[in-house]
Amino acid sequence: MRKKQPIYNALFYVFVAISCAPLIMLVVLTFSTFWPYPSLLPEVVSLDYYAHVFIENRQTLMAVVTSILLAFFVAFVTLIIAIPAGKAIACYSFKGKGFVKMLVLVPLIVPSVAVIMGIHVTMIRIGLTGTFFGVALIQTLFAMPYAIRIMTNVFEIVGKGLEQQASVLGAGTATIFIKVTLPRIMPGILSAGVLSFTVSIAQYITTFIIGGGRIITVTMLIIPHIQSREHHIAAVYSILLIVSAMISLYLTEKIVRRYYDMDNVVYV
Amino acid sequence: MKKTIVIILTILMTLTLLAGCARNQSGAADEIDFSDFDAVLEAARGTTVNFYGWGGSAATNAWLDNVVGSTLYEQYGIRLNRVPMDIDAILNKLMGEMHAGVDSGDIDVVWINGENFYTAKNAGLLFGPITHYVPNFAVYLNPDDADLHYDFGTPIEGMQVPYGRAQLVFMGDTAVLDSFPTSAQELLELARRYPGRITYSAPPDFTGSAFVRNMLYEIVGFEAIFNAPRDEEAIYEIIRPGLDFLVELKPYLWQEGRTYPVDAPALQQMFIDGLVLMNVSYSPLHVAQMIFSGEYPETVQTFVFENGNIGNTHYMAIPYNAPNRAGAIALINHIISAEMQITKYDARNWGDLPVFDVQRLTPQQRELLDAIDNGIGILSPEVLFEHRLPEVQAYKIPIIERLWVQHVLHAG
Repeated sequence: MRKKQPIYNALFYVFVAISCAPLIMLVVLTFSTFWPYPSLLPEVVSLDYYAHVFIENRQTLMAVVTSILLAFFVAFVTLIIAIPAGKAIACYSFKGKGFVKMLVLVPLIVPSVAVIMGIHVTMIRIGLTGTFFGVALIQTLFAMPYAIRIMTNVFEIVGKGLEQQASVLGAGTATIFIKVTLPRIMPGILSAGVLSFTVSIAQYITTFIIGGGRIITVTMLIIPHIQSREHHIAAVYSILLIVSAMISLYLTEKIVRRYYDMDNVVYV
Repeated sequence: MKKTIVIILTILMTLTLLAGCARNQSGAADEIDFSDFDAVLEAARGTTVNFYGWGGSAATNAWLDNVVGSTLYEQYGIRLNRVPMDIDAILNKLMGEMHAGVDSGDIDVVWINGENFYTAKNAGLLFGPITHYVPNFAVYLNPDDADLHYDFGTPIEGMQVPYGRAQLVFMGDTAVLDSFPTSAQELLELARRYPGRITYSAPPDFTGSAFVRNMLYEIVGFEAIFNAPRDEEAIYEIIRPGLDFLVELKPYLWQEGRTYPVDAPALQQMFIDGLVLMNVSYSPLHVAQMIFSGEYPETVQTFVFENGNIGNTHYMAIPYNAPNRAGAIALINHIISAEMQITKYDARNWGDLPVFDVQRLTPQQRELLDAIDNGIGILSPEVLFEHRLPEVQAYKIPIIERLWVQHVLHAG
């Protein structure tokens, strides 16, 4: 296909280049110590910013671990809620279904700060602020709309025909879920999981307010440096975050694919 | 695999929940007599003190973690936990906690000043007065120092302790100018001699706004503006001669004052390109840093007006629900010690002006201060303090900026 139409081929690479340009810029930023206006390339190159992030700042390693663990946990909790919710919305008819479908999206429509400020006081009262679990819970709230949306669509496509077939043949509920449903919705689960993972990684205000400074993620270290125009340091943290998130997702996908045979859904 | 993840996460969850419970219990701190500093140090030993504040400067963060944190641990056995959090989020958090009736929060020391201090103090978010609990406050700080009494016009009343200072400075190239203006009048004469070669960044740019206020101080005096009532019309009447001066200066400015550089970096670029003779900065070590990086020639020199330049101060306070008040007092005392303030002044660490009175240093401390080589082209902390004027009330600043737009920018 591409060989026949070289113009598509060219377009493809142009788009790849456009998408990669900011990332390349990010990498160059982390090394350039002195880059005055008219010069095309940095005049002084050093590892100072890496030294700051990895040696001077003792919070970095803990923040990476927190970010990744939190993201996995959020993705996991979100899926536990989103799979049955998606199935209910897609396969069953019940009163007020349209309303529920809309309600699911509310956390994305209402400004997140308004949502958090309200929940904050309640969370303080029940002692969830400043805990890993509290922060995970609030992030789940913002990851759920995406995950439920995806799972609904997946169940709409998969339907419940095969499950009924299995039931007729005498399989129990658990067997049906593990042997029939799960393999078929696995690509959807992976997409929803990856999306929830990303939503969690990017959360700033929520982690801030509910975490109360006890839970420190990499995003919380990045934003102050961006606000004060220390783009170089922010770039190092960003790359660190991107790389660790990519590795985590890649490994997860590897493990899942060992059990379920399917096309690559994360990186295409 | 999933199973192991679940198990790990369940353990983690339980641990954090338990940690949360443990924290609430330790919150019921036994009564300490804070005016007995030895008892405070005794109570603080072995604890962790949580310092919350803006975390946007890598140099500042590193100084707190590696210089303050390590010496605090060596000398008092107290661990420092720095949490990077914007002051807006900190105040939101404290207000939420107050609303929910939390007696033991997370924050022990908060980095604060100006409008935010005003908000926190009036909402009852701060513990204090605290200054009499901090021994170094009486040892190193000058009680006549205006920064100890007012922060952007808000009476401090012992609720916060100075942390560091900044000051507005001017700079010019000695290779171009024989002498620098020492007053607004001399600035006007300089502008007349070199029409189109002087300008300032337009308010509400932070630096430009401070420059305008500095000119107003020159003409009508700081006290007059400070004592003006909270009323735009009244403020206009008082600062009118100052605005008239800026209008008089206007035709000799770059582009005859029709347009101004949009912000401080824009003015700085014009200064580097030789378009203007004078640059303005709110960072007193700016010239040394720029000479060091090679962006300014070595002949550039910092100067201030004879009657003084505006300066502002940043502070530390203790929230009403600080779980470790003893640790907080020990940390604040440590930060305002001469040794820490001198390392903070070192541009390789941070380059922030010290809060102590130079006269109160011991000869050894004085030597330490003099030994710091922050580069060339700058003024000593002593000269800066002698030429330092406080800020007016924060709410007057936007009013002055509006009046500048009306009566200077749109004049004639």
